[in-house]
Amino acid sequence: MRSKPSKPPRFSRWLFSVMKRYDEDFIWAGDLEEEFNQIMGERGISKAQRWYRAQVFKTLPTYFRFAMHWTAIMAKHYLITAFRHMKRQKSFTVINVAGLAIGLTFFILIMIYIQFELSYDRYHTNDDNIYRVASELPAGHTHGGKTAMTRTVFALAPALIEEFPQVKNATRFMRNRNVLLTYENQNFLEKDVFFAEPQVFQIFTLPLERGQPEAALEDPYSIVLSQRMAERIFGQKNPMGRVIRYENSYDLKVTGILQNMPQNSHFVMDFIMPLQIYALIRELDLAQWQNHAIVTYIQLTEGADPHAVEESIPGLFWKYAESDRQPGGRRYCRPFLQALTSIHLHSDLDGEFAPNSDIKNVYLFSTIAFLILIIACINYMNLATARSTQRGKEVAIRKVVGALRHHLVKQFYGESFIFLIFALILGLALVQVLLPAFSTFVERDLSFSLLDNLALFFGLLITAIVMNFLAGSYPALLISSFRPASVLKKQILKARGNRLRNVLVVFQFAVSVGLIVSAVVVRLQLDYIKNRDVGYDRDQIVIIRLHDPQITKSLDALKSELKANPNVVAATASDALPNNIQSQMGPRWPGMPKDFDYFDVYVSYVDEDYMDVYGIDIANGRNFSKEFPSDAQSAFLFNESLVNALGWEQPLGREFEIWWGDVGQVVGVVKNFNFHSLHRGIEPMCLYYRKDQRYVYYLSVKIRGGDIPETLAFLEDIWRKFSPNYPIDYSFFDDIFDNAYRSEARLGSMFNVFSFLAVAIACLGLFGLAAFTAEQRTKEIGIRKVLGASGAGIFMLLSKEFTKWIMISSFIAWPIAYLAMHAWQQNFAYRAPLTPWIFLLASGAAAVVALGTVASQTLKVATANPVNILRYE
Amino acid sequence: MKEITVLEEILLTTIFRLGEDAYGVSIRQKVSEITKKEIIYGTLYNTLDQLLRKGYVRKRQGKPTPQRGGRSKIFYNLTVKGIKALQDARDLHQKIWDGIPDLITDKVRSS
Repeated sequence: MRSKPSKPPRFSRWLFSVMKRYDEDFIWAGDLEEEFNQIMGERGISKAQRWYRAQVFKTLPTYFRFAMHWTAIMAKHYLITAFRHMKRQKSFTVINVAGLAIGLTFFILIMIYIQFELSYDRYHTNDDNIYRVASELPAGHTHGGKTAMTRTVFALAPALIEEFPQVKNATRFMRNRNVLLTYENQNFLEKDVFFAEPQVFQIFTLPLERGQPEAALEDPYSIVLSQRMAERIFGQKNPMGRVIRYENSYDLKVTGILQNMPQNSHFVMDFIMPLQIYALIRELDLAQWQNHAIVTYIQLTEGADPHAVEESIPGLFWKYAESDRQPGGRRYCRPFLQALTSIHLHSDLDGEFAPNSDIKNVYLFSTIAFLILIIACINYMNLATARSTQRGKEVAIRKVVGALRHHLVKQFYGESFIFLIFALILGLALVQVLLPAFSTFVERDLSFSLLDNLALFFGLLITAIVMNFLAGSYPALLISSFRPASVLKKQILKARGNRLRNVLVVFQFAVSVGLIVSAVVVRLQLDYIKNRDVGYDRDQIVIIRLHDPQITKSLDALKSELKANPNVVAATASDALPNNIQSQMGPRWPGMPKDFDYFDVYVSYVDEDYMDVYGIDIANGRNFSKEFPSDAQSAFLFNESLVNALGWEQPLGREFEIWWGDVGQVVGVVKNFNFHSLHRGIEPMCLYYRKDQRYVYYLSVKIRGGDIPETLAFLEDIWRKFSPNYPIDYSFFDDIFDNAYRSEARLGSMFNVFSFLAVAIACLGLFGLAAFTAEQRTKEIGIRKVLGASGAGIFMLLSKEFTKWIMISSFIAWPIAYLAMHAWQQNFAYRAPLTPWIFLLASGAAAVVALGTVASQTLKVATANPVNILRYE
Repeated sequence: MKEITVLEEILLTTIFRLGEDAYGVSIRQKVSEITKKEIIYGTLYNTLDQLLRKGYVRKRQGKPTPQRGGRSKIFYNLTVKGIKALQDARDLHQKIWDGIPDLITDKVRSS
């Protein structure tokens, strides 16, 4: 039961209290209450409440007129005061605005980046209902170092539509890399070519500029191009109906032009061909339940539960797949659903169309953005409080003539807001200037327009308000608390808020030192990796990619022609490069015990020149050779790790089996080399050899250091002779090697920039503080000098405090940075040691920069003639 | 001679009439009674402030009472200047109406 109300209505009471707050001697509060009670007694509560409400609401216009009038007058007055102060203390203003502006600039840049990262795949109309069906490998198995893959079996998509009413639609994708397309004798080597089913246009939002989405992929001999590719291949001509030749063997008719897909997609399709033709070329059975080889996207009906669907998919495997591929079977891969919009930031499986981003990067970036913003706010706070004594008289006079504390608080909030607005405008301008460079750095096509981007606009507005609150509160509250009497009696005002200010400076430097440590560690780790002996040569090796399927037939001739040039040391064809061997199988040999435990054995298909080109040492036995007829059938070289894993004491001469069943002898053992990036250790691996080399994709050519351009021209000539249709596609092996560490290299440069920024902003603040301290102690210093203190002594005196702060902040930053970087290093199998001097160096660097900044101020005072200082008393 | 507004005039007369008992509630109720309109405290105090500033009235604090939430009444009474102003206003009215018979109002009433 609600008790009977006997009070005026709540909202009106609140409103009244607001109006009352404005004018302290609002004396009719008592009258209102008295009459309310009187009416309640005479005519009842509801009448009384209505009366009260009317009284309060009808006062509003009067109140507003009154409030506006005074607010306008005061605002104008505060603005004038603020601008006068900004003008009078130019360096203070510049430091403050600059610090805030730099902080805001990087904050905005990072927010633009994060917004872009979060926008991936959201432009599809059905984005919330689209899922990818991925597969988890059987326990203990890995693919490309991952325990799950993006692919599933061919027959799953049709079965899902057939049997599950919640699955509205499904489409399957294949992707081919490095495909030769020909139009009127012009060859185009295309990196990514997709094969899809017509449903792709229903599920995804992929509008066609020309052509019918339902019909575009109906005929197996058709192709859909993106606008940019159509322009590249056909120029201004109408592309529709024209014929493109695929891999020199199939003629495909252009049936549709796709609007260029936005960059915020986890796959960007420029060429789409019907999946049927892929099946035709590869003689694939699209209804089979064996190979996990195709990427499948499904669209669920509105409101369907993805978990329920996920849990019922294994049922299909029970129904259709062979026994060892059924749940619980040896080769069963557990299917699971990935929400489309989560793929870009949360998925890192084997077989991604392109490397995805990581949500950790988003967290890292935003953390750093906020830290930098906080450092900038701290600057403002420190400088404003340090300067507060200079505002003491103003505050005192204001109070004497009747300003209340909340008036002063408002005034100083307003002032910090003016600084912020200036900084924001400057920051936005800087963002425009830096955005192209930043876009290149993060490898995203970022754009920025405040008016189109309402989320960012309001985000910034809120940020500005929060910043104003953070940075402005302390100075506003501190300054407004001055007692006029003590100020005006010329009692010496100590710079108040010292302790808090010290804490804040310590925080600033802790962040700076932490970032410097991170930057140094990333740098060291990268150097460590680059200089580590991985067991093979990296220099002066040219890698030519063998996209032409015909070329494998004439490899021997090609190699001997290359070797005829004295600048070519050796050449070898292989299916993988020694820094990244991906193919894998299980151990198998004739007579293998049935219960032998499975482990991954990596395998690379090479020839006898591989060891020469890459300088890989043979520890035991011999290299592959044409002179041994048995090698022509099949032969293996193990690495030491495989020998250990198998536990074979004498591997030489024993038999081993490649995954498709050919058996060959183990002819030797190579020394372990790092056939993956150094994120991973050395695993069991074998090199495989046979005479006919069908599955090779790389030709590695070791050249001499002399005239490299000439040698490259020679390579191109020979290539053209052997493969007239395919343009040569080559790179240097050391670049490929470095590429594996590109994300780390980027992280490194990011830390460089941010640690520099943090130090720069912190030093701006320190500069202001030092100037202020020196100024405050001018007289003390003058007297000290008169009494015989030396310039150096004075400098020491003034720097002592700052040095102390840096030491304290170091002690805070070191353990945090150590833990963070230690965790980061877990990504690597090989780690540069985190030696103490890294930390000392970081603090030392911060200290030097800080003391340098302080020195620029203190030296001025320390070297001044005391007479000049003391004369004016 | 300074002119005063009608509202001021009403307030001054009301305060005069109420004598010792002129404070917010009594003034407001009396004025509402005379004008037959609910007058708002906001307006009332705005005008009282003006009168204070012009020096026509003077205020004094009474004792706090529980009906008022422990707040004290603020009593108003006329100053000499206020009485003078009221007198002037009355003279002005008489001058304005001098020689005009009651006919107009009678006419309106009868029609």
